[in-house]
This record gives sequence, structure tokens and C-alpha cells, in this order.
Amino acid sequence: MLDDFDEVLVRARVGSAEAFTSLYEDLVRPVAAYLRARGVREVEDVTSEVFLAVFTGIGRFVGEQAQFRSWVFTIAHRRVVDGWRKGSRTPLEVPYEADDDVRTSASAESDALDALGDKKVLELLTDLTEDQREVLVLRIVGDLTVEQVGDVVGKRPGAVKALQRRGLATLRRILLAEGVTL
Amino acid sequence: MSAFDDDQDMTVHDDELLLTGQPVQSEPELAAFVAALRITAVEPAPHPSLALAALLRDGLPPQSATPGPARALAARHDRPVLRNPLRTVAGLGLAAKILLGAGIAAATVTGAATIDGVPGTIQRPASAIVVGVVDLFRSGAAAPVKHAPARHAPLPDGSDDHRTGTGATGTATDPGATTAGSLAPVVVPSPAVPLPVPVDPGAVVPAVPDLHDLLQVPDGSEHAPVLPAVPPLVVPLVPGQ
Repeated sequence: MLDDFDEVLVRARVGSAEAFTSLYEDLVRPVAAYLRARGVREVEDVTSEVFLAVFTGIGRFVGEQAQFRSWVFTIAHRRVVDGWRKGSRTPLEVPYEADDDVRTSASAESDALDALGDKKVLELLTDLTEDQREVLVLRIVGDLTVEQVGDVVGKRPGAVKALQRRGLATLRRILLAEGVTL
Repeated sequence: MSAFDDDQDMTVHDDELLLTGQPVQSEPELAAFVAALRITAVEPAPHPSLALAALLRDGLPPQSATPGPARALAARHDRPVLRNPLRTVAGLGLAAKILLGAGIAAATVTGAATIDGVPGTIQRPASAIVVGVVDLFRSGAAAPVKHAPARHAPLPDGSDDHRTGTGATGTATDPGATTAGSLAPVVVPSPAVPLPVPVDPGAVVPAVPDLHDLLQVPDGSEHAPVLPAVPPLVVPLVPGQ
């Protein structure tokens, strides 16, 4: 979260590189994580496309920081949906391959978490329906509220709550049945 | 509230705690899953593409801050597209609505009167209306046209000439007869006799025959004069005069 979001937004509207960088550094990691969790194959490319769209379209954005976050994830969500439409009508399920993961770890803690559960987390997500997966990833990775998620996916808050409840119930059942430890 | 409702409330409450990253002791597995998923959002960022890197380094010129999609959106709003005809009609003024309604009614009646497929019960009264309107226009065109009386303007000497202009009265136009604040020219009916024109004091002025001389015919009787036609006089109005 940016403490001086309003000022940064004003400068971003006039094309300030520093303002773009501030906004990018604030949101790039959750956006990339969202795209990864949604099964996007070219996470780097799509993440860059999302932020290019954000910065070239920032002149039409009106709102505060929470709305800006929702707006960025809305663009990311649409990129995911467009990617599906270009490829096939069904989402692309990318099996996790540790050798293909080019991400660099920033800390030993991150290394440990990767080793413990990154693969399993992504696998578990594929057991959910698309809507459940979308809602849970936006809530957890995007750190959005129920209302914000509703804005992103175009559903009412009640529908979002129902989807997250069913998604968590599915995960709960799988975790208990398999005795999964992350 | 039933025990089921209590359980539901507890579940919803726990779900919210889980999703917001707060510890839930009763569900360690699910809490661990959420924590593992949440931690992916703090991993190192992917490298930006060349285009994005250039934008982050150089920014955008101010005129580009209004993006292509936004410009397209604005242009779409500016375009007078009749997306919703009802809304468009509702936005018209009263006169425009009356004109539109009259136009639609006229087109409907004319269509009903002229299209062969229209049932006779509808076509006959429509034809009667159309014929009536056409006759009305024809009779209106044949009727003599009443002309408005010529504009009466005071004479230059200040006297008021109430004679109607037949061409012989020599009505003059007061150059000072203006409407305050208006610059629109006033067209005054052509006088039969040329009006006095401001003359340069140094200029040589040809002798102007007296009006009575002009009206006299050789046999001594006075007839309506036959004078050359003079084009309408256009007097520009000057404010403040």
C-alpha cells in the first residue's frame, strides 16, 4: 500500500516515470502471483501487458487506492479470460515444473516455502471450479474484499461469498481426506 | 437462531479470518494452505518487458496520459449515436417534439393513403385527409396576397406624413430611425423619388427638378407619375444614434 497514493496518481496521470515505478512495485508481485495461480503460462509477458494497459489507461481511472487495486486486478482478470479465448475455451492448466520456475528467491524463508508447498498449493487450486478458484485467488493473493472481488469478476457480493465458501469447503475436504501437509 | 445457523455463522466467520490471513486454530491445514498461497504474492517480481521497462524508465508524454482506449471511449461518447431512440426523443425540446410528432403523423397518414396494402377502412379516411390538406394548400396559393402596409417613416423635416405610399408621397427614411443596440439593416420599401443623399459640400450637385414639375403633364393635369423604379434602400442601423 502506498502512503501517498493520491500524489502518485496525480503524477502518473501526467506520465511520470517515478510514479509508474511506485505503482508497479506496489502491485507487480500480487498481480504476477494471481496470474500464476490462474494457470497463465507466460506470467512475465502477461504481467507486463497488464501494467502497460494500466499505465496507458490511467488517465481514465477515477478513485482511491482500493479502487485502483480492484481496477488493476480487473485488467489482469480480463487478460486471463482473453488468453483463454485466444487459446481454447477452457482455462489452461499448467502443471507445475520446478525446473521451469525461473523465479529467483529473495530469502531463505521464501526458499523453504517454495520447497514446502508451492507445487501442492497450485495443484490444489486446480481441484476447484474456475469461479471458486478465481474468487479465492483474488481474495488471498490480491488481498481484495468481497465487494472488490465482485467488481472484478462482475458478480454480486452474495455470489462471491457463496463461491468462496464452497471453494474453502472443497479444499477443507481434500486436505482432510489426503492428510496433506504443506 | 438454530444450531445450524450458529454453525453457519461460525463457518463464515472462520472463512473470513482464513481469507484475510488471520490464524484459525481449528483448521491448521486450511490455514497453512492460505498462508502458502498468500506468500506467493510477496515473491520476487518478474522482469518487465522491454516496452514496460522503457515506460518505467522514461514515463509517458503528458498527451499520452489520456490513453487510446480512453480516447476511443470519449469519442464514442461524443458521437451523436442514437443508441436509445426513446432517450433521444425524451431529450428533445418541446418544439422539436411537436415537429417530430407532426412529421410522424403526416408520414403515417400519407403512407396510409397511398400504400395499396392498407385496408380500405383506413385508407379512405386517410385519403380524405390528404386530399383536404392538398386542397387547402391549393386554395391558399390561389388567394390574393395581402401585402403589409409600407413602413411609415417620419419625414426629414420632422413632420409626420400619414399618406400611404403609392410612390408619389416621397416617404423618406430617417437615418436616425434605428433600433438601439442593433446593427441589422432595415429594408425600407422603395420610395418613388430618390431620397436626399448627404452631399459633399465641395461637390458639384446637379440641379434636381422640383417634384411638382415632375408631376405636371403637358395638359396641366396632375397624374400619378411614372418614375423609374428604385431598388430598395438598405439603411444600416448604427447603435447609439
